[in-house]
Amino acid sequence: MADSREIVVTFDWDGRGVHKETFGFVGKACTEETAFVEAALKGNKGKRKFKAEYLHRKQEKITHRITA
Amino acid sequence: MSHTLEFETTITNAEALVRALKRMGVPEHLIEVHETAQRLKTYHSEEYKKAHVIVRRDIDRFLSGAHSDIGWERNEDGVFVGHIDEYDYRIGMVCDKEWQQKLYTYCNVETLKIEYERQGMEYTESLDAQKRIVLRAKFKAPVTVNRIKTHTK
Repeated sequence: MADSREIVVTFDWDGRGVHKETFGFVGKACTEETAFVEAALKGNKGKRKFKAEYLHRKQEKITHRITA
Repeated sequence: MSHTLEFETTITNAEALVRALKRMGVPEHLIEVHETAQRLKTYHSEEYKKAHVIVRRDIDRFLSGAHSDIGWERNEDGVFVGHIDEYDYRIGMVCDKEWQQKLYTYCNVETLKIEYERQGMEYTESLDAQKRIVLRAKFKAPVTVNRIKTHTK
């Protein structure tokens, strides 16, 4: 199956603003596997907004606990 | 008496800076990259500023009318500081705020492209509805033993 994971980075014309959006990642992987983007741009981190996929991780844990 | 202005940047990658300068239309033959900082040629300033990445003034084309080179010196933290002659800057000959912002935007873009290339990732560059640069990169799934199919009988 093709890997559908994608990183989309948008650059403001002020030379500072950089916006990173990830697609196809589930849970913490979105920040862990794309951390190199921030590292390359010297920690231009800014505020993070998480999508529903990130929060899905907690849900997985809870499900696991109930079924175990 | 003129002097040299210093501009803080967040640039750490000389290659990205050179690529950004080219995107800004600076002719390649005017761009110099040095391991050891070299002196900038100035007319008005008596300061002797040095830089690792230098754009030499060209009386015929780029920086036409300017009196001094422009340069970026790498500081102890590895971050480049821009040096621009105050007179040239004041009369609007080179590198006004808008020019620098555009350059540093291209620097960010090129820095990330270099990182994608280093990791062997495919990417595309486009403009969004607000004319901002967008880099779209695809992840490659790591090759595991389970995914390798052998075709031997």
